[in-house]
Amino acid sequence: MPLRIKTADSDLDLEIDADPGCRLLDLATKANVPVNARCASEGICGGCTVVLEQGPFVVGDRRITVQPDAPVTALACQTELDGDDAQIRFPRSSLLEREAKIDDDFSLDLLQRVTPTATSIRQTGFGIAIDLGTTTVVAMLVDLEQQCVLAKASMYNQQIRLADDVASRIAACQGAEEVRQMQRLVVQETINKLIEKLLHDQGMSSDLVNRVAISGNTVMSHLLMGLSPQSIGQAPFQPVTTRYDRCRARDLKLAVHPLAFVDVVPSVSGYVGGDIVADMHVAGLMESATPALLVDIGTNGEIVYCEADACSVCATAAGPAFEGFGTAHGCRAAAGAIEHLAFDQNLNFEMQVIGDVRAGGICGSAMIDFIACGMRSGLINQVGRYNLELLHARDRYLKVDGLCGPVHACALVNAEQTAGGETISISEADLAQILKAKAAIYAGMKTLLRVHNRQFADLQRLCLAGAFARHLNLANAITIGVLPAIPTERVDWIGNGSLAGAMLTLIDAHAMDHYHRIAGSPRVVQLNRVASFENDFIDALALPNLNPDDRPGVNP
Amino acid sequence: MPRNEEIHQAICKGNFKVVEEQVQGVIDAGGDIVELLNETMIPAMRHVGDLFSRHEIYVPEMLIAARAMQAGLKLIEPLLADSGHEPRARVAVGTVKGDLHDIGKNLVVMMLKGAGFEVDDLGVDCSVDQYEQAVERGSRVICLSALLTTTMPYMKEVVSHFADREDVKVVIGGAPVTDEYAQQIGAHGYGQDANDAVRAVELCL
Repeated sequence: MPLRIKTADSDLDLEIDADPGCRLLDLATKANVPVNARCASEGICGGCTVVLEQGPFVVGDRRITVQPDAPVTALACQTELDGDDAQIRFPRSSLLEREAKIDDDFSLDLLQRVTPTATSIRQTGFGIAIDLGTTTVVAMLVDLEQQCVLAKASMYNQQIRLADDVASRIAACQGAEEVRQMQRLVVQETINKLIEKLLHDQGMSSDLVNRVAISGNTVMSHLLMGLSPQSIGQAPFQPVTTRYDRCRARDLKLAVHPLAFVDVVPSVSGYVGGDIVADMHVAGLMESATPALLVDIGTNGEIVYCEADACSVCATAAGPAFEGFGTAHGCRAAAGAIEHLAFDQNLNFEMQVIGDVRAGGICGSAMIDFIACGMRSGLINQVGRYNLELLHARDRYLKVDGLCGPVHACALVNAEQTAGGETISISEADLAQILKAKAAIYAGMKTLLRVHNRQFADLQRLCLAGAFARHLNLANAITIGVLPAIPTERVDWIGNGSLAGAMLTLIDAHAMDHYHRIAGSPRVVQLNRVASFENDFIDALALPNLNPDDRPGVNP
Repeated sequence: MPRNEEIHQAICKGNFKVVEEQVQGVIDAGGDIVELLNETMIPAMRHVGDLFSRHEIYVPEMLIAARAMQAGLKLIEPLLADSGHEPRARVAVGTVKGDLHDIGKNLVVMMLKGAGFEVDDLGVDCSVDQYEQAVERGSRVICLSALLTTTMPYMKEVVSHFADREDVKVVIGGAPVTDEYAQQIGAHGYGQDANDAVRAVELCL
């Protein structure tokens, strides 16, 4: 039976054969339509919203026949085809972008980080440097002789088809077969696709590439090498290895010269990977004579402390709220994302949307702006709840369905002005998610400093790594209490240090030696084994903090 | 003794320093701590749980309130045994083997204490043996918590271990855990959140 599948901009219009009783999500996946199903088809996230344009369907347990003049909106993971002559359309908001827009920038003069003696060893040919992220993978084609970048490309890590975040990817690797499939998805469906694109665009043959360097978190590095990540998913979170043997491209089936050497940046522990080791090296963190912190504000919130010979790391369970997941209208920093916003006491909003498109969601940096403005204007109280009178008075009040029932929300963009045709709002439940994330980051930093008998006032450098930090309004981040109130000149941003570190591996013959030394030095701190962590976490759940010592304006 | 409004308020607002001072004041003045617990502290925590269930407050506020409750309980718990206080029942709570995430678990502990149960807090990373020992110490219900999909499967092992013990009930919960999963592995109860966990435990008894 034919089913016609279309997408919003008619860039896709196809007819497939389908049997009644098949789930629309499965049919779309089979037809290679990149539908967003990040909640693993639980019917929770609304990512796979589909418009039923005509024909018979079963929505949940309800049988309906849709007439062309009255389309119905449903979730593809909860809807089955029920007969002939059906037609569906996926709005743009339900599709994973084919090409991820991510951070491929680093604000560093990498050549300065090259070991001085290394420059005498001249390399020839070309290399590929890769930042292997859980969500996105970035690859760079590097001219080894000229030590310069020729081209960059990025795409989603195709393992995302099987599982979304690190924890669910570990859970999806029950046996050797699953691990092999994950390896195939990242090597052949992701990295090789990127390499082919880079080489094709430059008109180059794959045989010219004689070096590959890859940096990623411990789970990604394991899956790349075909190692099981199972043990990382449980305490004591031990990886199979923290050092990855140098191998040849043919061993991994990488689409470059078969004898090209492949270097993978070593990990520190199960939850602190090569990406952080690379960050530490390119940021020059190990050379800090005075107290310095490096923070990657992401799901696993890795934090590194360095001072002279002392070095500790921890991972803090921030969750994905800052990366746009776990909130109703959260999104990644891609086209259509509200990147920055501001509003006054009358709730007049100014917003900055990425790209020349309608707003589709709110990225983490704008969430922080929102809370900071909310605190200043009296819209949001100390525990993250709204002044409902103000919302009503300014016609911004909205009651939305949260995961567990109706919740109060503030409307940001009206339905008719959004990409998805749905009002973009932030609810109190969303605010609670952000508060938990920011408390985990702040309390994690505070705890790591405390382990070394230091406090924020002692901090001479706060180095922010990762994509999220790039979009961050520093003053607002301090206002809401995600970052400490230290002089802003002590805060710097290194960008995609993982990618920079991979590139350095290609142009500095000593880089891997540095990485191995760095990976072996930090002491790994388990935050919830530190008695004071929970108290600091609870204090940091409030805006900006329940502890008077941790409020901006009190500390230097 | 009627409800102590100041302590009630301080617990609801999460002001743990005020709770500490005031509860210590009642103790020093030789006040009735069993009554303080039953008329003021338990109702305060129940109020917080109700607000949470009605989505009027969220996890951050609940954690802040729970810390204040804990501050007060810490002072009176050592004295309760001598005062002839009879807890409702003994319940053991712990995160399963491999899972170190204890913030949700701690909240469940508080809500159970706040509902008048005696809680055997087993901490994190608990093996079947540790749950077994808790049963030997007198717990009739054991609550398992897991935050990771990778540690969830251990719940099944614990449930299987107690499968032929009719006097032991197992209640499970945690972010990735669902009611469906609870039924699938044969758990006796499922708590959707910390407040719901109390209801699930009560249903088992």
